[in-house]
Amino acid sequence: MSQKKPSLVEIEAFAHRYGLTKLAPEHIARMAELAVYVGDLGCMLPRPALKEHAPAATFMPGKQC
Amino acid sequence: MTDAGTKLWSLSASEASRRLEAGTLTSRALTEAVLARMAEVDGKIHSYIHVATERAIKAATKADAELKSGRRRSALHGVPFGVKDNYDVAGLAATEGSRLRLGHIPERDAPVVHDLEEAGAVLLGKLATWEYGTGNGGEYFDLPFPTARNPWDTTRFTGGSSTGAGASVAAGTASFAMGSDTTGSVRLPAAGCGLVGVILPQGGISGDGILPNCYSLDVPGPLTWTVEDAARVLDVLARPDDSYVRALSRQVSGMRIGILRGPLGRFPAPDASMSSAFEEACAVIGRLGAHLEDVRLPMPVSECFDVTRLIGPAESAAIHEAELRERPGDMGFALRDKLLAGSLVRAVDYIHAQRQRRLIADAIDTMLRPYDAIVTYGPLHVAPRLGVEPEMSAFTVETCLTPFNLSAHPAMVQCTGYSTEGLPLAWQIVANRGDVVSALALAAAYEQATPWRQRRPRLES
Repeated sequence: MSQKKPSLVEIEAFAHRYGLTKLAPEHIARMAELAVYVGDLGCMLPRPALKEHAPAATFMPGKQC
Repeated sequence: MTDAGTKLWSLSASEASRRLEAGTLTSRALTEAVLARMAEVDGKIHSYIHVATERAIKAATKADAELKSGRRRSALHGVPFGVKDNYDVAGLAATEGSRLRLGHIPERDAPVVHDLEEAGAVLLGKLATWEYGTGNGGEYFDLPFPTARNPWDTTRFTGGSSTGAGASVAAGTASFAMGSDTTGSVRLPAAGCGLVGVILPQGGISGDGILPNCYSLDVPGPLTWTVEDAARVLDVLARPDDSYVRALSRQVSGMRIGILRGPLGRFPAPDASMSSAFEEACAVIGRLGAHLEDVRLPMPVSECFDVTRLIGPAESAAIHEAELRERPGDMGFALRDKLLAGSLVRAVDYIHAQRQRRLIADAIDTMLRPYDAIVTYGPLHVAPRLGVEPEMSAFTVETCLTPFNLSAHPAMVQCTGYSTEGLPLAWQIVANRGDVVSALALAAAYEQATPWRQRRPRLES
């Protein structure tokens, strides 16, 4: 599955919404390309079967060398 | 390449330490020899961003005076080393390889630096790194410092992001080096440059005072010429109850070793040279008496990589958000690319990636538990031509390194020979948590049984 590439206007609006106001036009263009890649990665990521499968943020092995 | 001979710069950290202890070598002579080696070859490999010559000579002189008075601080006393430029050293510029940090001078030492200097080791300087110790797999030649080059073939990449750490130890411009690894940045340059590179689970070595790249995956680690060198560094930094160096003599005979060749998922098969060296290395440890059994990773290696592709950029974008907002044009392409990608990761997907990481970690832990260690590929390819795509991205992406970042197991790479072009080949050894010594002992026995430590790159004019 490949997502539709966002328009430059859409991606610039997204960037501005999150404080990325100093990106050059070529950065915006690259961000639009990356949006497809990142979106695909997120969609393809397998989802754990159970809601009880907690994230690895709680998985800190500590000093085990 | 050439026989290493007996030049002082070519001594392993362990051999240098033995000579220092015996009084047949001084730290000053060793340090000056390594500095002279730098003067001779670093213009070709660019392993250093900043060399602290006066500081190093002063520390070496002090180390000699202490040895003369009977004080030997550790098994690294008097041995010169370098640190990746994302480590803080009080009073020395820490640029992190970036124009964003030009002129940045930390006030405190990273604990790793402090502990190594307290152990009597001699800091030589700051080593080249990909910008901010990260990247997107490519090389764009757009940073304020020259790109580090592989001493085995200076047209080739060292492996990143600890580029200077790999180049320096292979070339003899440091006796050992410290790098940092998020998804392979210690083990990849170690593999590309024919070295030993080791990571421990987070907490095994302090990551304080090292510019973060990904909070949940970053670990520091040593790059060394021999396994014993790595054990000596880990003895100082991880402070095990029982010395790793002493445990290196543990017998391989009777060890139960898993042989892991995949599944690789969408990644290609390893280069033929890498694959045949891996099979021969397995045969060597079999002849040493290890019991070998085939195992399979519970999920494709490429799926593990994909998980890191959501976690890593998202965390980097959070960590370096201010720079992306204020100075995106001052970044190199690779760093900016990663931060832009990370800014696009949905929180929902990041959380699913961390959930997936936990499942991967548990599955790998279950797979590993019956074994003393498993052996597997490191990178699937030899060091690529610097800046040439798709070779660069294939080398950095198509590896078996990321599963063990996600699973937080001790992991190391080691040289398994050389390709027909003279490029280092490597494998990876992974141990159970709390048992890195099994990996080190297996690697030490393999190293003793093979001739790979007798070669050094030829860089002389």
